[in-house]
Amino acid sequence: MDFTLLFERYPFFREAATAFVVIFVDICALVILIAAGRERRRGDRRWAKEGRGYMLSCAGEVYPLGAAEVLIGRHPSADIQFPDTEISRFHALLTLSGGKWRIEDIGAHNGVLVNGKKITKPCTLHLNDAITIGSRKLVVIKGAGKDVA
Amino acid sequence: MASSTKPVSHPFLLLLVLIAHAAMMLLVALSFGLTPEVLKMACAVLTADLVGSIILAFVQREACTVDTVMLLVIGMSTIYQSCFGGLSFAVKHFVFGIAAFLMCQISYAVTRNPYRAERLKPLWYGMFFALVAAIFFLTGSRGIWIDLGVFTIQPSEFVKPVFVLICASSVRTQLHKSEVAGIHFVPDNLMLIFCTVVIAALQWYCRDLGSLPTFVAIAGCGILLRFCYLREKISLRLMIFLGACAVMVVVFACKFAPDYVQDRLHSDIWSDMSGSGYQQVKALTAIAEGGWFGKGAGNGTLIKVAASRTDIVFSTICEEWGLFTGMMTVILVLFLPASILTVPPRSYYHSGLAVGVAAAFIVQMALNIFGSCNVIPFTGVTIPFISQGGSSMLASGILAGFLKAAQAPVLTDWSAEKKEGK
Repeated sequence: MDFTLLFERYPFFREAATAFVVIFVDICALVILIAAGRERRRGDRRWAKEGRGYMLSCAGEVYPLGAAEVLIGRHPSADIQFPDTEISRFHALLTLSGGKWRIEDIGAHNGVLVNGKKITKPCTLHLNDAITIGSRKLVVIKGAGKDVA
Repeated sequence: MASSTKPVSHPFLLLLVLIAHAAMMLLVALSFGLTPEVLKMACAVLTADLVGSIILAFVQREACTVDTVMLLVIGMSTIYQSCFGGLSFAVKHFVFGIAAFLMCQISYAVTRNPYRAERLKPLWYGMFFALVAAIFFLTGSRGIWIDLGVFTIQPSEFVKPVFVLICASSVRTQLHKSEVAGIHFVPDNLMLIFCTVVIAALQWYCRDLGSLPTFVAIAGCGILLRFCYLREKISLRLMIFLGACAVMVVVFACKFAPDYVQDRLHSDIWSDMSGSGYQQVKALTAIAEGGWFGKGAGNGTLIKVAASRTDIVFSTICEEWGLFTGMMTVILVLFLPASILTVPPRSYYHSGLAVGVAAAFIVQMALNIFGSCNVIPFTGVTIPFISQGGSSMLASGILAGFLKAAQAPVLTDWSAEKKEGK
């Protein structure tokens, strides 16, 4: 059967075939969109594994770490912001590398203390480590929560 | 990051891509008959799907949405381009589509680690200025093409991914400030502003004003991200200031634009249908004639109009395949930048990359489609992956690789690890 002639003689068949193809490809696109939603869950799981699910806790407040760089300071742009005057505008930077969280002093006037010791170079953080920034004491904890960065 | 998570739906998605292309090929075969040209095209597209699927299933398992959508869109655009105005397999378009897919994997590998990509910034600056020099010295008199005899290259297309790499920045870079005469500044921000001015001036000089909004959008997003570093609230005052700046730039650009741009801005296409409004009138008429389901593959007449495969490709698709298919194609291409909404980037450098790519894709598509539909003056910008053109296709592939990198990063700072090891 010559479909070319059929399409020429009865445009309805061509329209129907085109509509079928368009609807089919639309369904493909929709399924890909749904799959993208699954990727999000996988991405979250991957991040939880990579970042070890670490969070910071300070006076009952919990700050989950949601990006590979987390800035702590007084400046409004800081990810974890404390309005205290003894905390510098940009006080400390937490970075994630190779599955390890590190904290470093980024020129804070009052320094950064990890487990009571002032740090002079980037320091790897472990569970239950206590970070002192100004008068604030942050503890590294593990759990689930909303990302701060 | 060494991830062991397997994309559960990946083989299924690739199978869907294969079936979608097969359905389109079936429609082409029904329209043209089983000619050798149809068989050649079907073999090429379906083999590419199969090979791509095998490679992705066994080698590359991360960020499957970007790969899947790219395979789907490249195959679809090959079928469109091959059928415009009659059947002729668009071999060149197909080959560049495959090359774009490979470029995507390469750029993904290069930018996957944000720490390394950031450290390579001097290289990106070097590439940027090399490309700018190439545009200035090698394209002839105020042109945008380099003629190599066998083929031509449009270097300004390759500037786009390099410019996106320049616009992205990390927190550490933003904290690194210099001081000159008591003024504190971030050197990287100063370089970005300088590069923006250079590329804007060059585009103006080369009369490639169609690409200018794309560069301005990429730079605008990069600068806005830095303004708002990191989570600073976008204050009403800042928004008013930025809005006023944007209005001033637009007014300035319209007032001092070259004569041919002034003509396009002020002319009514319907009163000059055979002159300056010719392409847009034909493009609009083609969309209307195509209706919802088109005239049928190969039955379009817009192919006789200049730039029907590139600058007004949306109208050409709508004429032959219908408005439904045209809209669906646009949505599929928009899937790519939208994929960052599903898997948010986990580093600020990757956030910058993703936002830059989204700006580039969205502005290019808006310029092309709105230009074809006479909403804005005709600009002559391509739709990523759909329009014909090797430079545009390869640059789009590189940009898609950045999206993949933002979705599946490797977060290991090797220099920090080495320092700690010592």
